[in-house]
Amino acid sequence: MIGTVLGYLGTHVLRRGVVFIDISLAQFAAIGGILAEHIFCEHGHSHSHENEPLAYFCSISAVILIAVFYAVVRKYKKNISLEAIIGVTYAIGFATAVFIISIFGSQELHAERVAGDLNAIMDFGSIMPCIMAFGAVVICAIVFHKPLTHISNNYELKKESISVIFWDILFYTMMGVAISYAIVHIGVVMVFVYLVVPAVIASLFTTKLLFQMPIIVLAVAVASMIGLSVPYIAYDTWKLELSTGPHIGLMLGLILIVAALVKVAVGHIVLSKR
Amino acid sequence: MLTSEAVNFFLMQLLLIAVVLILHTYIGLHVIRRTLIFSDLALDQLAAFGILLCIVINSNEGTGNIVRLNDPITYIYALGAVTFGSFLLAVIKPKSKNIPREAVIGIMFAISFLACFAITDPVNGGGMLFDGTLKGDLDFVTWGLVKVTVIVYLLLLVFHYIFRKRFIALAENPETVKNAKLWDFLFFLSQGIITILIVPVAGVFLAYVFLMLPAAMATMFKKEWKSALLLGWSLGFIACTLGLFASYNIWDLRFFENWPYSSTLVVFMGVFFLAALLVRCIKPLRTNGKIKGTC
Repeated sequence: MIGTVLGYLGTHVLRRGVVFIDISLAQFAAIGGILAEHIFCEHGHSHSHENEPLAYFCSISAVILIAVFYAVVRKYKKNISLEAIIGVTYAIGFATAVFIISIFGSQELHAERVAGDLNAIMDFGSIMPCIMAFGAVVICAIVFHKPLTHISNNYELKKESISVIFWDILFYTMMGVAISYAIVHIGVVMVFVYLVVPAVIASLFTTKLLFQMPIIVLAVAVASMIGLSVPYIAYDTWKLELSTGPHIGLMLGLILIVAALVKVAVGHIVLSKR
Repeated sequence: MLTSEAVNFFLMQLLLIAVVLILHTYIGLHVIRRTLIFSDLALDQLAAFGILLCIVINSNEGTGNIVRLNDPITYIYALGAVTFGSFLLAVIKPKSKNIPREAVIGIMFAISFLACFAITDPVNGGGMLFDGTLKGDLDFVTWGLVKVTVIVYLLLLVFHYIFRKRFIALAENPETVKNAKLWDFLFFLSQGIITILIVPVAGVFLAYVFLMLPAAMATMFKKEWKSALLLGWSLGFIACTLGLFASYNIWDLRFFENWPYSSTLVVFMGVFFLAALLVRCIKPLRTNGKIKGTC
């Protein structure tokens, strides 16, 4: 579910050509969560489940704040590209997270937010908030499909009116909600991989969203199944304890390479037939 | 009062920062003007991958042979990784409008980040190693490293000066450049070489910020290459000097206690960047009495 919804949002991100906005939003969501853990948790009881709603609230607030910043800057920027501003703010966000953690101490919290921990999913109840948040994003995506797609398809042209700023903020907030819940389980970099890689795989073969979605679902399902089984096989065979997230990401990368090679091969066959 | 050891330490740091910023700001201007924003982050992460791969392959706890992050052999692996990355960056240019080049660069960064995580995950103390490549280590700075860095950076500066017309053409009129892919490769390779020298000391993110932030600040105020380079270098150097003093807590203030080296430098440069962005938004650029742009 995480992969499919992020994959859908990824198709918009690709059309808008602001690829790194998602990793930046994810990084600021992580900062919100880390700050909440440090400010609201009792000393020595960091990472408690009672504080999870507060952590999500802080994550989403941080994302909305940075989303408003990007939406406003996009309207006014002239000499510098939005991608450059995103790149710089992402690096500042990462350094700020390291900075906060170095000052308060608790290295493993940032490592979890960056790399994620799928093994933490113990029962259905632990992923219910995530399912509800993603459900809300799906409903918004269906209800506001037309204006969001229209802006994504004409992103460079559509930046003058106030209503575009509103739709931009709404889109980034949708992304922010999805990202805030997803990073807890899969981490900042995996969120980025789920957003961009399946969307690129689909874009290799078709530009229509209707046909892109089945490709995205298939790629995510195959990568997740293989990526999840690698750590179990490694543990069974060599007693090695491996994290699951990176292997799913690497699997998606492998599928992308295969898809690109298939695309090139198909292109050559079509050309030689002509 | 600073001891002679502390003075030596600051001199070494400031000299290294001053030298590093010249080439980084210049290449950063290219990167921003060509909108290849994350190419440096991808190369930084690939250099980190090379370093970690070297440590994982060559370290043997049984024999006591432990390779450290800044051992000379790690630079060779890192060079191999960034050369491969530079080749991919130069060659892979999606023809489809639906796949921006930045997506390819982003995927390269994310995959190399995850590969770093995957190869260090099963190793004892792998998390610390991985973290070390992200944050860097100030203790790796020695006069030997400063000398090597100065020599390599000077050679690269000469190289970029001799071929400046071709590199500038790549940024301004890429269609006029013959063998564009070769020049692209050489551009990314020179970016990769500086990455190799800086990542063990500064870490992936500070290395990236060194390249991007001074150039981003300069781009908002200057269009001409020389003045942009001078402005970017000056602002970057002032921000880094203040950051260095804060992380060392030179003013002996409780507020600056435990401030980590690389992220403090980034935070200081970040403050400068946000101030520059604010100034540009409040005071728009004017040409012939007309407002030309804001940020």
